[in-house]
Amino acid sequence: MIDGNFSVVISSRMSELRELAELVERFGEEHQLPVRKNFIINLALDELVTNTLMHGDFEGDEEPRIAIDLSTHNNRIVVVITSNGGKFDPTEDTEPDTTSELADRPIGGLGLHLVKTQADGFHYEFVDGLNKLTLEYNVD
Amino acid sequence: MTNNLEVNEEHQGDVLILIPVGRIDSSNAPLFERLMKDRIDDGETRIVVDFTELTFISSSGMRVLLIGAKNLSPGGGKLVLCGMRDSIREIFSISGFDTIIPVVQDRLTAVDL
Repeated sequence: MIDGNFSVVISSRMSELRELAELVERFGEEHQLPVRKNFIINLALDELVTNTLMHGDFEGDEEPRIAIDLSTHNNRIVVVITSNGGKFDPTEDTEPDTTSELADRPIGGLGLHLVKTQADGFHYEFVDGLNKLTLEYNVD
Repeated sequence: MTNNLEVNEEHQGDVLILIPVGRIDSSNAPLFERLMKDRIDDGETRIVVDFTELTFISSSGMRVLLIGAKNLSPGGGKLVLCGMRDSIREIFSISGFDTIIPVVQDRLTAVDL
C-alpha cells in the first residue's frame, strides 16, 4: 500500500454519494489498497454519510456539511468523518437482532453494526459542535 | 436525489431472475425497492437475485432483500441469492442474513432450490 491522503466535503445531495464512492475507489487503486478494504471503507462512508443526511438535525437554513479525510500510512488506513447536524454518538447505538427468524427479523438498524464490526478502530468525539468519527483499518 | 439503477431481468420457468449491475447504495436502493415490490405485486413468487454483476451493496440494499423475502414467504414464495463476491458474502454473514435468506453459489443451484 502506498502512503497518501485525500479530503472531500459533501453537502446535501444523496447523488454525491456516488461521486464519493468513485473518489474512494480511485484513491484505493492508486494507493494499492486491498480490494476488501476498499469495499468496507465505501460501505462505511455510505452508511455514515446517509445517516447524517437523513437523520441529522439541521437548524434553520443550515446545510449538511460532511468532511471526509482519508489517509494511508504505515499499513494503516484512517478515515475521519466530521459532520454537523447535532450530536450523534454512533458508539451508543445498540446491537441489532441478527438471529431471529425471517418473520420476526426487524428491518433496518444494520448499517452501523456492519461499520463497527469491520473497523479495527472506531472512536467518536463531539468537538466544537461537530461530530468527529475516526475509523481505523489495519492492512496486513 | 436518486441515482440510476440497472437491473436485467430473465425468466427461467416460473423463476424470475433479477441481475442488478454495479452498485446498490443509499442513493438508488429506493429504485430497487420499487422494482422488487412491482414484481411481487405482478404475481412473481420465486425470485432469484443474481449478484454476479454487482460490485457493491450497502445496508439500504440489503434491507430491500429482507422486505422482499418477508413479502414472498407467507404465500409460499421464495427469494434466493447467488453469485456473491467474497466482500459481499461477508457482510451477509455478519448481518445474519444468510440464515434467513438462502445464499448459494450459482444461478443453476438457485433456480433449482
